[in-house]
Amino acid sequence: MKMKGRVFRFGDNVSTDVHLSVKYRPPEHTLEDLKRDAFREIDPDFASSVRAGDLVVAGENFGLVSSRADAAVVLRELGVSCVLAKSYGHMFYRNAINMGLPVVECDTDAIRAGDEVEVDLEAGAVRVGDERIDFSPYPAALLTMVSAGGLIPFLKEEGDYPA
Amino acid sequence: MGQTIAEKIFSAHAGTPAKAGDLVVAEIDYVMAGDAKGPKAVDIFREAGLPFRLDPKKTDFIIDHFVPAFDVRWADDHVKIREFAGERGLNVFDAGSGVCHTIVTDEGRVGPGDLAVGGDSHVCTYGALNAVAVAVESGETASVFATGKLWFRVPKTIRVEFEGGIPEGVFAKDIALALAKEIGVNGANYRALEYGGSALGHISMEGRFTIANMAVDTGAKTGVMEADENTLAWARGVGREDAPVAPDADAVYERTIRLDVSSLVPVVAAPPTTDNVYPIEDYAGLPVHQAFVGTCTNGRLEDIEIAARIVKGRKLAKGVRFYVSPTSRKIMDAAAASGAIQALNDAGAVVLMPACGPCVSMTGNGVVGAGERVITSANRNFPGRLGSKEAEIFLGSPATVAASAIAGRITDPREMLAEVSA
Repeated sequence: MKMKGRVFRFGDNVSTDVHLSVKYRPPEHTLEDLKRDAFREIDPDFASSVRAGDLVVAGENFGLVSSRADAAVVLRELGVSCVLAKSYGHMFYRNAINMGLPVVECDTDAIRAGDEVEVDLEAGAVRVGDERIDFSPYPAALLTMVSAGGLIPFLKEEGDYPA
Repeated sequence: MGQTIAEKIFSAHAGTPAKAGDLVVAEIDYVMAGDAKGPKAVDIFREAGLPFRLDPKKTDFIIDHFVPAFDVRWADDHVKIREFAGERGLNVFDAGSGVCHTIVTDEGRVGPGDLAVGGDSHVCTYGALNAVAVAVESGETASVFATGKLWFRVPKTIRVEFEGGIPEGVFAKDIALALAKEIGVNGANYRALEYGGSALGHISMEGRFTIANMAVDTGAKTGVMEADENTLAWARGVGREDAPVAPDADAVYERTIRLDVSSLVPVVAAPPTTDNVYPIEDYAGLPVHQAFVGTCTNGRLEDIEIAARIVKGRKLAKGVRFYVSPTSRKIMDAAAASGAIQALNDAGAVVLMPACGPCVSMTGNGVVGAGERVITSANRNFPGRLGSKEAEIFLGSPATVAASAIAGRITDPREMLAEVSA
């Protein structure tokens, strides 16, 4: 599974409270409301300018704190094809894959906003210009899972992990 | 390259050598399904129309949070659990059996080398048995029902070495809180803690459950202890013959923390977080209104008995409520046989049924009002956890809780313990 797109760049410790700030959220909200205001605190133009296939690249502890699966769903629904970060909040990491959003832990220091990057989950490689950044590749089961849209859709389609 | 205990357990269950950072699909030995997250797992499982392929012996539903049911929605959830389990021949530990994590460790559901998951933050308690145990979401539980497997990213390991002798009046809870302070509430994010060191052998299995229980309160995914004779004796006692898993001498750790337990004193975690830990003298004298010994952290026999020893022949301070919940029917029996229950009752404490009780407000038990202060043997002290956000929750050992209940103020237990021993 390969993704190619433009980079939106965030820093360290972007918590799920920034993904989905309660500041802008009406009490009765839909997924559309959450999408419109995603990351508004740190990048007011993110939601309006992100295009299908684009990537989010961050530093340490992306998606810290909460177990809110919406934080991953919003990124997927905005068309983000993959997230690259140096480390993750563990709930966000699991929720992302369970919701069908590929997340990769790798060194992101060399990646800048607006870069065109290519990610190969199977090979465990990110390409930025002439640079190659390696990461632990996705096993076949997880590739199928993110393609299917997450853990439960994957099991509905496949029934079980491949032998 | 050598492996940590967690890397070995994930490798054995994935059928492939795995190191920190690797993504694996692993066989699950045990799934704990409770009444807080279990019902949603049942809903997801049913809605997806998945087949149930997990060996039914590898799971239990344990009804411990919302008991006795105080609202129809919880009663309905319990009906859902009993129906679902009944259809598939799954075991249910129903209301009053005890707190899920005590039941799992005491009934031999998990043993050394196992990989367990469950729908509760403190599943990591089973790590004291030399197992890897990880908290999961309801959809993940549903997926394990369907496949017997789950995907994981193998965590990096932080090694924790306990060294030195344990001073009088210092208990496993003090060690767990001291470690929480050292690491911080999120300092071990997505890591496994691996506990060992010369002091581990001096900590009872019950104490080890207390320490492993609080791994998650440092942000860790799991905490796993080295096995020794005590571990294997416990495992044999609950009918298990598993081989223990030791780390390789050249295992790679992200870092090593050495905790000299001989330097510890009784401590409390003050609000608002579990790592806000200070010597008890810093808070001694603050009035308390509610005291609680129980929970998956500290509601085992030695916890009930130390509390009983302290209160025996004494009376609670005026204006203090003291609740005690032995965390299983067996522990209740043993505490009754030893006279602990009588001593607690005589002192004015209220012995509650084996259940989660006044640990968290969602259980509908023993919530507190604005301006009240709680001293509890539980594992979390976030404002509002036990009702009013204007109440203060302090965490301490069962001895500290009992001494504070007698004095009516946050109290160092060592003086009362010395009197009891004299």
